[in-house]
Amino acid sequence: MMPHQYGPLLFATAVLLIALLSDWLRTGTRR
Amino acid sequence: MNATAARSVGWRPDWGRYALLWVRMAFGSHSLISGLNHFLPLFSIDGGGDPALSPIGPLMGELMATGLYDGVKLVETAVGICLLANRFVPLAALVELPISVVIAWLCLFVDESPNIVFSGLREISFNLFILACYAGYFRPVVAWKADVRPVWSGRSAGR
Repeated sequence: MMPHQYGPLLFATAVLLIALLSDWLRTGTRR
Repeated sequence: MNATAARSVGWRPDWGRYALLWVRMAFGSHSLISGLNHFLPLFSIDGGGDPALSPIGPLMGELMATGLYDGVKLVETAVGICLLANRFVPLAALVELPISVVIAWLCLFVDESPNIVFSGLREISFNLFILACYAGYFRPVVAWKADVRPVWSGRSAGR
């Protein structure tokens, strides 16, 4: 695979992990 | 209850939303860089992806000669911005669909090399998944006998 093919997949995974982590932390502090 | 246990109790993730986020980011960033790369030289695609070396070459040549390819890349750039910014997402996915169908067709049935087949499957499946996530916006279009609601009558916004 070329960088322009896997780059977007890596970027999307990074955004997803940040979203998951921030949602998880937010839920934890609210309870 | 400690903080970790509280989190595991309170955290009920909507996995569909996260799947959409991942697909939107992957498809949006790919569209944006592949669109922008046509106008600004961000990276070269020599090696694996040069269309001139593929059976797709002649069609690509004609698309470029007729100027249609510039339009495709303009649409891809705009769609990429919309998907990344989470704005006009159903419209962006709909506008991108004809491009995705052509790309998938060329990749799956014309080029057929494994790397390119992967690109084609990714393109069409990401696009269809986003459309499926916004199906509620498209269901009214499936009307057996549709009432006329012209844009000039003021009834076009009605349900």
